[in-house]
Amino acid sequence: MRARFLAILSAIVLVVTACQAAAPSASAPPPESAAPATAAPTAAPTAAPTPEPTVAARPSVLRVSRISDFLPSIHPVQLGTGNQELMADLVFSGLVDVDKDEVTILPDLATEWTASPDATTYTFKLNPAAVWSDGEPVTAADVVFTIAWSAQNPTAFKQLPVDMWVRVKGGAAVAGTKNIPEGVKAIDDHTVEITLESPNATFLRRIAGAVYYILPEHILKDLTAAEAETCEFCLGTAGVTIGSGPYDFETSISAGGATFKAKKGYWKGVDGPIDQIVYKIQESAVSVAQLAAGELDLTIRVPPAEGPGLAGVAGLKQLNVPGVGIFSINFNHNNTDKALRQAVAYAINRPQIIEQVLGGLATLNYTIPPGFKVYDDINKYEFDQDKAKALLAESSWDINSTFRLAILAEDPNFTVTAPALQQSLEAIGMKVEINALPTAPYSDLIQKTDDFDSYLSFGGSEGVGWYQSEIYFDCAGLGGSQFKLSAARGECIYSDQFKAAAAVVGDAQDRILHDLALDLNENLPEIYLWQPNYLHVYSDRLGGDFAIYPNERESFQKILDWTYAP
Amino acid sequence: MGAYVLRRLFISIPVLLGITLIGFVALKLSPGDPLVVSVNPEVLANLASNPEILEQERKRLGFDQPIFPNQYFRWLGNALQGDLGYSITSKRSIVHEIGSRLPQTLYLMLTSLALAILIGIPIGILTAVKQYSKTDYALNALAIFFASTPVFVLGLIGIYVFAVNLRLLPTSEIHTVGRTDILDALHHLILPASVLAIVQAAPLIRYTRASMLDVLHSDYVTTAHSKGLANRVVIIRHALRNGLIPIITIIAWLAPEAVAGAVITEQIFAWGGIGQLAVKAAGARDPSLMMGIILLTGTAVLIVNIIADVAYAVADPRVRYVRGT
Repeated sequence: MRARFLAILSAIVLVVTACQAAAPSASAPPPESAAPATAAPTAAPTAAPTPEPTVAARPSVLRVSRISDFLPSIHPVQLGTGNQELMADLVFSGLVDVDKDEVTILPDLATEWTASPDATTYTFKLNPAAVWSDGEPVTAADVVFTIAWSAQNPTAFKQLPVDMWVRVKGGAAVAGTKNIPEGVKAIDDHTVEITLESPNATFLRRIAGAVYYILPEHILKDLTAAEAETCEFCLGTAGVTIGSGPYDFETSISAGGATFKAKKGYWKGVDGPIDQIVYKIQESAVSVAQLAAGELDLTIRVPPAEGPGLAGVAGLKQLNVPGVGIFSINFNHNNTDKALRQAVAYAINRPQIIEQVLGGLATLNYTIPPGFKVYDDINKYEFDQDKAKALLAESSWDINSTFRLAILAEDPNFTVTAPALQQSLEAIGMKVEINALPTAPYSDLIQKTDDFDSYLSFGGSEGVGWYQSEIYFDCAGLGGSQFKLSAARGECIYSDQFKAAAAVVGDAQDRILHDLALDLNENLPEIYLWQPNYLHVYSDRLGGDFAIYPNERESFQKILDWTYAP
Repeated sequence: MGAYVLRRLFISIPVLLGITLIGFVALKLSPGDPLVVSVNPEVLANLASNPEILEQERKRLGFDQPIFPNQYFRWLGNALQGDLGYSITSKRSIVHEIGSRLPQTLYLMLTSLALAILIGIPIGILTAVKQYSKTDYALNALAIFFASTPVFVLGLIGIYVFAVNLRLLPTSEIHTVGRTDILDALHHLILPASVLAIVQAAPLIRYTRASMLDVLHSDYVTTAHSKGLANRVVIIRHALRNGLIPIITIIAWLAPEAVAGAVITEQIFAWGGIGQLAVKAAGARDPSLMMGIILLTGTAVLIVNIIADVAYAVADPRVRYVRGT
């Protein structure tokens, strides 16, 4: 009798479950109800929604998630992922911040600043009210310490370079010493003067990035380069890692994220608008489920394909914007020549791939770095198979050999588009072999071998401005190995042009950038294909000056101006 | 019994060493530079443009020495002193990494295993006793259905129905932010533990049924019945005890997961346990962390096997260790 009851009960549970599972699909709204399909990056919502009076009050807790790229450190030597930069923006302060237009420089620790006419010397007045979490004042000595430590330990920076600090006058000379570069001086407790080795008009914008935040000298003055990777302060430890930003760590950084609490009586005169921020580092599928279940208030970088499915969730808004990262084909310049690279560019029908493979969720690029102006005389390499075939014949490429294209096996950005690119190249007579590899072998292949002809890459923030591309062409940094330019041409061909452009402004800068764009456009050290869209999903409880920046890593820089209706 | 356990423990030591040696060599020989994967792909080229950093790091971590015996014995010596090294990705000690996640895994896995036993064995006995009845057919069909349904399918259905649609249960994670009370923890446990329990109970039902059917047709059971003993007494006291041995084997087979973590379930439910850690360690090719997990898993398997051997002896007094001649 009991056994029979059990069987009947099981059947009922199954039927009920099946019915419940089927129900929501019928009521799901059509995809077109998704929020702005291709809103301009600066069109982030700024109006505070009026909270509905019937909504039950919740504690002021903001639950944020972002994709799971993770490095545990918060020290600039290991700062490389967007998650780290966003957390650093909560806990630390730089000399200056940047507004959501990614151009306007805002005060942070510095309340005012001046630049010499030749863009070589910058003087900053620090806010005398600024204090660290332990109550110690933030002074010019902290700024001098931060810059000097960076210049003394340039090889300690294993992620993003802090080349603006290294390029202060005398910066190179103090590497490996304990000396202060002659280009950085504390004029008084709250005034600091920074003189660069050469003029740089992008200096203020560059130092608004999270990696340039100011470190507390009284905590870290004896820190060695090796210790900077593992010290408790450096790992983002609650109660140990102190900053001058509006939030403190409440729980330490782990692979799952961290939590932050707002400082009371913050020195800027206004406290963080949200008492607690729960920052989750998680797989996008987990975030999507939590968004749908109302367990998250903000997810940065949801896969765009999830947009229609989340469109019907009450209380959520979407921002679908062209990303600032670039998807590109890179070459082994030891093995390929310009004619082959141009042939590849002409062979790819980029608008068609964007439309048919990516569902229109990407912005076409005209084969120059995305932060550059699209000059009228740029060759757009519009799809032309005949021209591609002619260039292929003209090139030194052996048509019978296999063109080895390496891709990341774990990233849908790669796996979805690689077959389309393969077909495009095979259509002009090339034999293409896709080599899909996990991250480590993929990195090894590119870094340490010549056993590839090309590889797909995606990321960066070049779309923010032309200067964001500089590190990728710097022969002392990324460019030397990423593009193998030095090996191919025997000289540092683009780095000097970037530096020259940074040294001037206005028409003079535009002329240099125009020449640089034409050179890159002609030689194609890499073929910039498209900028995949970013989808951000957020609660309508967020308002005020809440915005997701085009470079979403910088979105917390103005968190004091947000509002949140719990 | 004590000597028996000691003997089994003694035999386990070389087995454990073998596991760690094979794991260590295999990890070292696998493609990919563990140093490189600790760098963001967007800027990984920066590292390669500073080869001196790579070499310094390699030397510091002993990666430039022969894998065997140098690197292995260095690792083993440290491991015996409780030092399993540091994760190259998190920069924290392996003991900390594993120690901080093991309780979560034990919490989930032991609960699900207990549920699976509570569901699986009674249903297995029931289907054996009611062989060829409608109950038997229905419960067997369910068991086969759940045994052949991948755990991620059940997990996703569970999330969709009970969390996203009905909003009765949370989608994932161990507790709600800001809450550490037991009720909240139990609330979060229901879905993943139920999914795992169902999946684990399914084979248990099948094996219990088969084992009990063997025993129920034995002469001594017929004799017990003919002596006028109550059916319940015959099943519980006479049949079940003898039918337990294959069931203990299945439980011993399921139990190491209680320590090693259920990789897929922990991923789906963002359960910060050892299973999720293992996935991250493999993805990041974090050799020290992977070795720590191999050591933990290997130890768990061996301990559970010893416990199973003891359980055999308790369940069946005929099972005793006999010294070879």
